[in-house]
Amino acid sequence: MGTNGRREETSYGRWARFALQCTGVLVLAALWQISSLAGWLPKAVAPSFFETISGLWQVIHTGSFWAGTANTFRAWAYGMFVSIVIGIPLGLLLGSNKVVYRLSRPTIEAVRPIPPIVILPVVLVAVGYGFNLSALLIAQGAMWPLLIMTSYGVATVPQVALDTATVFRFSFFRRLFFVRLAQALPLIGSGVRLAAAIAFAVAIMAGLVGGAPGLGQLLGLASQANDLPTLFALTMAIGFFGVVVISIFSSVERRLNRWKVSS
Amino acid sequence: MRRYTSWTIRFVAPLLMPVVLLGGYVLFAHWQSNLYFPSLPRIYSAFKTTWSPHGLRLNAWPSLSNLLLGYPAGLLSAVLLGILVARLKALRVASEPIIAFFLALPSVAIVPIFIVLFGPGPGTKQLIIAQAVFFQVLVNVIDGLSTLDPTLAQSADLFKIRGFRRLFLVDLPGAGSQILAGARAGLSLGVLVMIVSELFNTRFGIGAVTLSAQSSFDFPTMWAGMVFTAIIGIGLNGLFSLAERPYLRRAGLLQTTTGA
Repeated sequence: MGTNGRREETSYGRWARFALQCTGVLVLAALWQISSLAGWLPKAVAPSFFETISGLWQVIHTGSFWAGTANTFRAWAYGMFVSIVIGIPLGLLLGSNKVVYRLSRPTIEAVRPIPPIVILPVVLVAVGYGFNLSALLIAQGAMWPLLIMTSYGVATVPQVALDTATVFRFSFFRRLFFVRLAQALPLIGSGVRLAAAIAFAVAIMAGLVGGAPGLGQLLGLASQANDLPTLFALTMAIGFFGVVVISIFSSVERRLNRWKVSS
Repeated sequence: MRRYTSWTIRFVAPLLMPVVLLGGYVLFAHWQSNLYFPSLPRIYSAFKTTWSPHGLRLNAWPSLSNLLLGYPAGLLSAVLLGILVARLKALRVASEPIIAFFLALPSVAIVPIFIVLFGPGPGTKQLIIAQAVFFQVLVNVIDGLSTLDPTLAQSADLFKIRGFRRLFLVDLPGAGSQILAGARAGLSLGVLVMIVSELFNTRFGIGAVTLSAQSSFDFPTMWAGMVFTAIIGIGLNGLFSLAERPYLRRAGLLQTTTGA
């Protein structure tokens, strides 16, 4: 969300911008370290910046960390795959028929604000703790933005485009794929980015709350052991992974948007 | 497309899908006769006992009061800090990576740190909700205020509107729709972390009662908790829509319900 800096005017050059951003991070780190040293941030409350970094260094040299990362991203990828395979075609189906769209939209809009954790208890009893729990929760959480964005994008295709397709006697499938789906691509891109971020958050949540193997589970174990340095290090690592996921999918989304502008 | 003006179509049609889904569940629960999926009447009676006035006071009030304190706290601090950061361009650029980090860090992941540091009390939960809302709103306030319509800014300059008058008459209304979008996203996130924060060493609360029903195999009560959570999510989102209507109407952004 904060990445659409392209439309704002800015007097900073690329390097000045980068230098400023680095300064911001360094100032924050320095403040953290200083308040730790000065005793404003007691050791019992939070480790200092360098302790956290050294904790992070230790954590990334453990096998369980990388196994947890692999498990988290395996469940993430699996859930994303399922949600894309179900969400986009279903969105296409719901969006391309006006009656179906109008009948389904109020329900989908109503379901949207329900937090993705709601179905956790019933999924827990149905599939038990483990990978399936994680994958199912992720697929379910990620499917909604995909479904909503796809159906919205497909339903709001300009009438001119549809009429053009009619004039050229496009077949049903050609019309569906080359007119509706193509026009909806930028919105689907946003949907995929949202889904990727939600899927990552749900993957962490499934581990933390449902005990599914992964980074969230490690986080839960560290908190049970009151192991503050590991807890801070893991949280930081999860933040970094989150940044990676979001930047990758933001660039994909930007690419799809550029396509729309140039067409 | 054909305009449906008859009220039956307008009010009955949106209910068609929920009714079909509910009917599907009834049939499913009937055929399955699975313990995990109790029949609707059983869920309903569990709902009535779990969310009786007493139950509401015991389990819903702790959760909702946390949200009631945490959400405005996060919202207000984000708007105030966002106004400051958006004004100082160097600070805005310098804080970009930090804000991006906290936005990318799932707010659920920060819950254990808070619980370990401050214990599982209500203050911790309010703090957790406030910080989740904070970053979600902050990024939208900063983005909204720094991408204002240049024509608007030029007009304001021309009429020499400055200071607080400028802030309240031009800048904040101009960024309003984005701030509201952030506030709405923050609200759903707040509901989510409200539930998640109750899954650790907590006895009372919507999330706590649902999970404890699950672990004691009381599936109707578990479903009652799930349904209640869903109602809270939908209801608060609906309240938000009502609350933002005056602004949207003034800004000319209010969509009519008949337009497709």
